[in-house]
Amino acid sequence: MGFVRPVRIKSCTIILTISLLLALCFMQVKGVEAFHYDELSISAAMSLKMPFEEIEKLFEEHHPDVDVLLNFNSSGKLRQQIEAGAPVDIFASASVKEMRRLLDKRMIAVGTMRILAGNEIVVIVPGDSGFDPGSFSDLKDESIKRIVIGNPDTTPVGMYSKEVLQSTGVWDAVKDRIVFAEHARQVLDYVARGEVDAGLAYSTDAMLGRRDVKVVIKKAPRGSHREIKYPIGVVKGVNNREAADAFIAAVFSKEGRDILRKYGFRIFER
Amino acid sequence: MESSLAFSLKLSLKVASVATLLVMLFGTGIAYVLAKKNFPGKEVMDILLTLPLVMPPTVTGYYLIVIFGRNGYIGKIIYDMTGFSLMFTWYAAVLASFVVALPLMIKTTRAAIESVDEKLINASYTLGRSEFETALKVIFPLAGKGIIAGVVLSFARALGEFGATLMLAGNMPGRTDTMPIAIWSLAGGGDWPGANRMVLMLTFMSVIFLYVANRYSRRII
Repeated sequence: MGFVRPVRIKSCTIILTISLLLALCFMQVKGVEAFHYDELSISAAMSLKMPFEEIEKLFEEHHPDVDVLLNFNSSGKLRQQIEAGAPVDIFASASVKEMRRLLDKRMIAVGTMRILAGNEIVVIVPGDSGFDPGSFSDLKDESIKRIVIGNPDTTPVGMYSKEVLQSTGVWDAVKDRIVFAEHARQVLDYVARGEVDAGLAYSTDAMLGRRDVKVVIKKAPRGSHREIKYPIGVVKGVNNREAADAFIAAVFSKEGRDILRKYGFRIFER
Repeated sequence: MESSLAFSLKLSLKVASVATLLVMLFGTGIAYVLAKKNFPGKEVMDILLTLPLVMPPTVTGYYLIVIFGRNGYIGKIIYDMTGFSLMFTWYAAVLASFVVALPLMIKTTRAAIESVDEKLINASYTLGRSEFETALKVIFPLAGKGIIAGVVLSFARALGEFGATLMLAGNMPGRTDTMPIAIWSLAGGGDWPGANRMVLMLTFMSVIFLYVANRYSRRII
């Protein structure tokens, strides 16, 4: 008996502690649910992260009863999630192509799609790099061993970048040196860390990373890629259409457009 | 598409084989030291080497970038001296697989070495065998089952390594896209038929590998 008792007390304590912890977890979850919030779930292209986080704050000031949940990823991944039935209210994509696929599947509410902004493709290099290409064909240079672009199959930035490299005739020469990034911000990250010699990024992302990267080509040649347009739309069957419409209105409000402009997005005047 | 399947298959086998070979070399040595020697910092060493087993591979990958990245602690020295960076090469995939698989080898081998009868080891010493000879001719053969199990587990883990590999070797089609990375990329791009082919291939290979490993270890020991 004398040998067994301490062990029993020990295991009892452990079991009790674990159950207490579990109970605490569930109590907390319940506590949160007790407050009533309308949730508005927004899936947005990675490149929209900074402006949308600001617009979220702006929106929540005016709509304190709505809790905005932002989910950023590559537009291709987000589109796949929505197709698979993810509970998303608003989709903001970095390419018309991904939006079109949802429109074709009738998953976007009729008449809600609008273009919110435009962007450009630039070439960036690490801040301490001496590489200064005059044009895209200089990317063929031997000293450029690694070039990062977005994955053309899942990220719009990659799709545009591949179009640029193909139409400027450098794709075949550099394709063995290309590393795929999984979303627009990862392109910036690879270059900022100096892991690659150059990258093709959105001008807005390059602007965010200006402390660590240099923009060496400020704009892809006109017509070398599809025009970069960001469509936004309400996903069909949303829980809270009113809040969704209000958020889109906030994006297109003067303050919303100023925020987008501040982060370098091109705003189309109507 | 077929050629990229063949490429990923070959690359995966190459990476896993080289990583397993390194794991065998270093793993048995480290396991022997951990099992038979006492020195300060032994526990710390054991914990550090076991960490990759417990942590998500992305964390392991993160540490490896901090150490071996082009601007990492060691990576920068190598890059400045030779102009070579491990990042986005198949060596990086080997390194990631090696670090992640090593604890499996160490754990199983250490347990096997510790379970070898002490009397037999002492007998070898009394018969005038050096420590190295004893290890090679007495301990390792007697611990063979455990060592082989460690090798099998390590190879399987190396073949399936994804998280750390992706962070370190990246997704370079035709260069660093091992089967797990190619599958992830294909599925992410919505190419389900392509992903299916590769998933079936990898599953088939794993089954064959496990079958052979089972048969082999039963026959040898």
